[in-house]
Amino acid sequence: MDNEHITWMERTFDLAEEALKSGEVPAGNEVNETKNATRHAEIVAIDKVLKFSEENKLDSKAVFRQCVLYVTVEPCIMCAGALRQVEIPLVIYGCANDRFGGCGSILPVHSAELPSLGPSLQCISNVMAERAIQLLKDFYKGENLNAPENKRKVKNT
Amino acid sequence: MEEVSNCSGNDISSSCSKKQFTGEPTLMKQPEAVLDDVYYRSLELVDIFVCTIKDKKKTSEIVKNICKHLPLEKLSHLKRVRSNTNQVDELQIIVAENYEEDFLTNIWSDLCENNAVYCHVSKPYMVKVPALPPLTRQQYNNAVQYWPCSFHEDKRITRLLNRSFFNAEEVKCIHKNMEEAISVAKSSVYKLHIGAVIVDPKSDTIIAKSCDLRQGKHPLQHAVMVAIDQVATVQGGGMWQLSDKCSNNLQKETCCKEKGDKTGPYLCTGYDLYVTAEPCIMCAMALVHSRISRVFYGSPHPEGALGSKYKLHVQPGINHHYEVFCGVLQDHCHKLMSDIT
Repeated sequence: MDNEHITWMERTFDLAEEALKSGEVPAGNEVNETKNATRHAEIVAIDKVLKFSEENKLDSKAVFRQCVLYVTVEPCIMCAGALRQVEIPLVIYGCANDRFGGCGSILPVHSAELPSLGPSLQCISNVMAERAIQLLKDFYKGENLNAPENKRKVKNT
Repeated sequence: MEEVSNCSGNDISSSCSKKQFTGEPTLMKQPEAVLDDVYYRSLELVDIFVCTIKDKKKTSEIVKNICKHLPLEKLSHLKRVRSNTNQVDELQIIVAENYEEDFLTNIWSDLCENNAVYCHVSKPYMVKVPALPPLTRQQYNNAVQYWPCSFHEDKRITRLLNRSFFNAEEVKCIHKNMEEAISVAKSSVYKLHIGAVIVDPKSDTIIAKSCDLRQGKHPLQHAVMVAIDQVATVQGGGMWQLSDKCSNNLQKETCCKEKGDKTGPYLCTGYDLYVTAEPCIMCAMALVHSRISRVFYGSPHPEGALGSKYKLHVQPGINHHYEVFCGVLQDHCHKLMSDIT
């Protein structure tokens, strides 16, 4: 594993741990504050790249093609589709997402024959996986305080 | 629901029942349910061993003994005994759910040696029987040509399959909402004409509607993604500030009453989506995350995720499932896509 990748993954974990402290899912997402369940960290990051490109008068397509996405958990099916559409070539992630994973765990959206979606997405998995799993465990100990009373799951930990 | 209905535009009618539907009769076709592949699977046969009961007076004793020593596990949908259709007045009984030669030399010969009742049945021989339990009336009718099966008809599935699920009023309402999606699709400034409308079916109110903006500044702004974000905006959240004319102008201030009200709507729970084209995998999963209740779409897409390439709504392992119907005003919706100049 490239040292550069490790450095960026460490930075990614720092951000996720920060998010956990503020009550969000530990992947840097904005679901609760926006009341939009599609605001996963990957989508937020894509929005930021688009904004960055616009502000710096760069072609966003060209910017995405030079990007690597570092994320603590395997992107979900939606995000894998989104990443292919913006043509990010590579994603590096910590642990698998057994509930929604779109890079092989539930569906292999990253490599499936979907030409109109965009080119396939290369994935490197299991990078600092133990830290990623611990982060998720810490999150699921808490409950989602933004869900309505009747939808909220009570955790008996 | 009062606040929510304020959020929709003035031009949106609040009740479909009052509106006279003037379309041609073919437009009133029921939407087609997109069900799990298991409901469409064709008959699969498997080879098993059966015996002919030679002395019918001994049937009860034979059945009791065979069921005890040779229970069925995989083929529990099959009736144990049938009257042979070729030979009148002859009964056949299943003795093994596999067709393996060592059954005769090992298990069967042991049983025959130790129990006199086995002299009243023939030597086991092979027949073909349905491998899987029938789930639909049609599958049942095909299966019983080979061997009698037990079948518990799911009336809901039957009505979905034979397109008698919705009443005339509901079909009108579905078409009215799809017409709304078609009209928003046409309002796009971009070449790609796809429209999406999110409706609260309880009050028949449009919560959000948008055309497809992916050909603009943001490649992820598919009509469905924008409509989902508009629902969030109505609920006091939202992310994308849209100036485009083809997304409706939601009156945020009237909707902000919802903010902080934990008993109010949660994401798209209980809402229906109408979209002119089959959603892609990203949008289909976004709808899972958003807890949509039902999806109605017009024309299929070869890479679509709700019936064509995938059936994400029935994908095992996923925590939320929604109902999907296709073919709603399909010709009109298809025309939107082919109109691209």
